[in-house]
Amino acid sequence: MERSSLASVKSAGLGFRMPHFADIMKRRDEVPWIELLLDNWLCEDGIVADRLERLVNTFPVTFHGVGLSIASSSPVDEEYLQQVKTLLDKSDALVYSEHLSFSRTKSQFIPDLLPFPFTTKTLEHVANKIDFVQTSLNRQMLIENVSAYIDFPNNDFSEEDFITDLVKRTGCGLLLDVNNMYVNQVNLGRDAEKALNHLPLAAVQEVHLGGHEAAEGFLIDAHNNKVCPEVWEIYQQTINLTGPVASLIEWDNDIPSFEVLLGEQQVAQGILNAAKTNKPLVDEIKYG
Amino acid sequence: MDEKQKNPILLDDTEDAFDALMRGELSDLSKLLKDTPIGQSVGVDVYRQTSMSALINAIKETFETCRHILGDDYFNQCATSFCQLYPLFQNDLNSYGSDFPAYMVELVETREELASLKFLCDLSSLEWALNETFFAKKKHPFDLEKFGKLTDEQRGKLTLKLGSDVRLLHSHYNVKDIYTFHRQEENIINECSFDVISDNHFYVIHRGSAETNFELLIEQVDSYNYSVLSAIKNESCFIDLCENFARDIDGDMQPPPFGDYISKGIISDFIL
Repeated sequence: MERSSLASVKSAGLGFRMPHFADIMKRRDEVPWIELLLDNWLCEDGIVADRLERLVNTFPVTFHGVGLSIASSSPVDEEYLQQVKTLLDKSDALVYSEHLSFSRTKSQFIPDLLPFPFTTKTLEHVANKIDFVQTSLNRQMLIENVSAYIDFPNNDFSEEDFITDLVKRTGCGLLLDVNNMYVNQVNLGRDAEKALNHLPLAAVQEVHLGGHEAAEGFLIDAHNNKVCPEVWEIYQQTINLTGPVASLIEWDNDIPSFEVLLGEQQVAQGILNAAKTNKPLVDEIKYG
Repeated sequence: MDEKQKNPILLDDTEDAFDALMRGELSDLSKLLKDTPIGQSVGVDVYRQTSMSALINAIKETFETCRHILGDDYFNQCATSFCQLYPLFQNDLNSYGSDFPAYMVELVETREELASLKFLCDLSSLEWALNETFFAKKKHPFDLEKFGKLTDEQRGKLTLKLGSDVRLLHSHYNVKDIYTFHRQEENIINECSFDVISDNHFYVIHRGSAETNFELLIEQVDSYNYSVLSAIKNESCFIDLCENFARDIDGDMQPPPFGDYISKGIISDFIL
């Protein structure tokens, strides 16, 4: 049986958060698809399963994970992966995405998306783990670029070259978080526009848009605000290059009214609608 | 040999450095980093704070009533020291905090200012039980038809099972009243207006009987029913339950009220 694909949903969706359950069910016609934070929905039973059933029966859904820890030194947790597979299969998930980061050490889980050095060795290690995940799940996964606050001196690759090689080696897709690109530009001095031109944009199947919090001289990727003008600009540049692609508004903290969230989604949808008449500048995978 | 080969940064090193950071040791991670526009120490501090905040927020959400009683600042201080001592071992923040009631016992025993708040230990146990009940698996209705077809011999040997959502709590304080009082929004600023009674209180925490009912119930029971339910939890066989807990009602020796427990969803299954 052919699996449903995100390629058919080139529209702006919403990251679902529980306080909006009643609103989103009431206004289902205005929301073309939703993304669920995978790790919150792994219970096979109880209230979580009950809510999940109602959501997946109403919306096309994608699942976005935080618990795989693809860049940990340890192998993939196969028990966790089996739970992920069960959830994706029973929910007819359009897409499974994860972060290019780690959250598990040998002694604990750290509830954050932690960066690691982009070296030849880590590339091989992460690529092998992605291969294992895709084979086990019998589906392609998307990898998301993360925001970072520190950098390593001994990187062999830039982030975009590391991602490009991962895509080339594993055939994984790319979830491009344009807010993370901007946060890294401010915090680490990386160049978002240059990164955009080096990434394998034809592999982009989803874009994330979110708001950050401005601290003194740096940005925190808090997903607690509206998308800022600079990020909208990077998004516009991305869509100019890729053509319409499924795009998502993420808002996880200081959650606003559903109306505010829909307003953000409509801005993204407007940009996607305008792009439908233009031919994308990138229509095949270009590496480097 | 180039600099990278001489001093490669391994994923192991990075993980160890973040482990140290979670214990409050900053230097290990800083040694691995290069300078950035925001500065190493700022960047490292963001990770320390965001990771710790995620753990503390999980504790705050689960132990909301304890937080309400202790106040934000004091509770944050307690939660921070708890989170530094107890790492997250499962990849699920909803399961984080099982050790907090035991930690609260330690705090109450060692901190003078908490001497009059001994009930916090049991209150935190109640809040943890409510968290477990909320996330417990859905239970299926007791199979009365199958039970009815059992022979007397089979029935005698079977063990009853409490619902997956059922938790039992014995407290020396009326923690249900304390919990209910502090959950009412209008009481956010008010002092507790009733006495904290030191006595025996027995509670059954569960989600009721209906399959799709997710309302959390804190049911106060007497010592007899609590003992019966504890024996069921400890897998006493049916015949033992009937013999050990038979009681005289109007001159008749009656077994425990299994039918009531089943109709409330407290007993949800049996094993032969």
